[in-house]
Amino acid sequence: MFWPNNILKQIFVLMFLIFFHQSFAQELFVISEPASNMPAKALSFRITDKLMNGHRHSISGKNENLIMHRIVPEIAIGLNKKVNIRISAFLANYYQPSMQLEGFNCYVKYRFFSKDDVHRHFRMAAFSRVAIANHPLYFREINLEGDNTGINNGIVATQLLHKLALSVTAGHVYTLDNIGDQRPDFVASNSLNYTFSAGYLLLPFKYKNYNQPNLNIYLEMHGRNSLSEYNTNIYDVFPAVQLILKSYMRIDLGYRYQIKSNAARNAYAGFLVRFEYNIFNALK
Amino acid sequence: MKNIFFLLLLSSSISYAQFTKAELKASGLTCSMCNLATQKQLQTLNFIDSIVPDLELNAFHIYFKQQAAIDFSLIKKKVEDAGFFVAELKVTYHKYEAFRESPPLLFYDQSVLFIHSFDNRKEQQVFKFIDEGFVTSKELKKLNKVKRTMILQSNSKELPLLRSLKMYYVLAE
Repeated sequence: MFWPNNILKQIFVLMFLIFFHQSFAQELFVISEPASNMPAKALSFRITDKLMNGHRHSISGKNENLIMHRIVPEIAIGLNKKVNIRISAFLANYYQPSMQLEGFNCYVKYRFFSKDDVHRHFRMAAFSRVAIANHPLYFREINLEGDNTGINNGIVATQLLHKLALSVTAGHVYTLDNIGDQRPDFVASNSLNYTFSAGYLLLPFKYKNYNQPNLNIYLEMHGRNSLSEYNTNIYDVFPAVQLILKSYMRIDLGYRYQIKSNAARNAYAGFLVRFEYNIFNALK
Repeated sequence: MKNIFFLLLLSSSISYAQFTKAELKASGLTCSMCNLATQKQLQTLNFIDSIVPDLELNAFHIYFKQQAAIDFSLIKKKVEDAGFFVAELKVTYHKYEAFRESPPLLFYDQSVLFIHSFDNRKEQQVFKFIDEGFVTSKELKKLNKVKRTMILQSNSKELPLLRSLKMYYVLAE
């Protein structure tokens, strides 16, 4: 697999900025979850569009090239200071020409370790994800966010170092049959799923009030390796920018790019657009 | 005789006690979303009148309602509910006469404050909380030495009387 030059350059520029620019770090990661939780009794609403110019397996057996959307409405609840729950639905035309409900996902995270100091912390959390998908599978890529039915258990560790936020997620994915369709042999039943994430705040340089917009940038890496059946390896990078408005709304713009893979998948690159709205103290 | 006086003091729960404001520093956060979440949690406390944030320092200037009973442990709980920790809590107190010499005690609602380096002559004093959960873990180690000098002797007659109250150790500044 080749590394496109311009993408590499962009990644190095981002890396450089992350490690050498002196500013506050952020951990509101775009594709991974930090070990930190949302506040107790808070409600968070999200709508995400994952769009890509990809291949769809058509009834005639040919792969069509077209722009596809996966619209992901989500609701997250801060049950208490240690437990978060996130429920997602996947409305997409990845597997058929019309937009349809292609799956559900429930994610629970428990923060079990915190070491905090002023402007820094180290936290660890355990998570479990149950995903349901209701369409036939054509690709080897395993993704519990709309593609596969399965269970994902793992651990996430996040370090905030005054100027820098770093996070690592590692988990095991057990893939089951999709609703109404058996899991084909080429889809691994056991696989490893991990992310490395870095983020920091570009603006504002000085905090004055809650209405100041924050601009954060992120670089995340996502790896997947099968542990059984076919040897499937997928590595994606994910640069993203994020705008925080009025300290309770969030807009993410991200770009996913495959750096290495030996698996057929819907698309090798894609965009992400997200809007999030938080209500603090929503629950009594 | 001393005991009876002590009991009387407890039951009357000094009403002239007056905390006016507090300065709270939170740890573990850097973004304004985190600050807002913390402030919104604190605002649910009915004894807090208003909060002025200092986002750069992750600090909150808290103004208490007059005549309201303040539960300091709830301040800590709300910061932790937001997902963070209290790094420093300082409260400003008006007019106080120490009940006893060493350490001076302040009875307040359902709680008692053990005060270190109290100055009787001052009209207004700032008390800094030094219990676990009110300071950073680093500072707690340093302050434990101070705290040990303040702890009541186990043969103290007052000890059983204090048991039903929330105890806080504070440093007068």
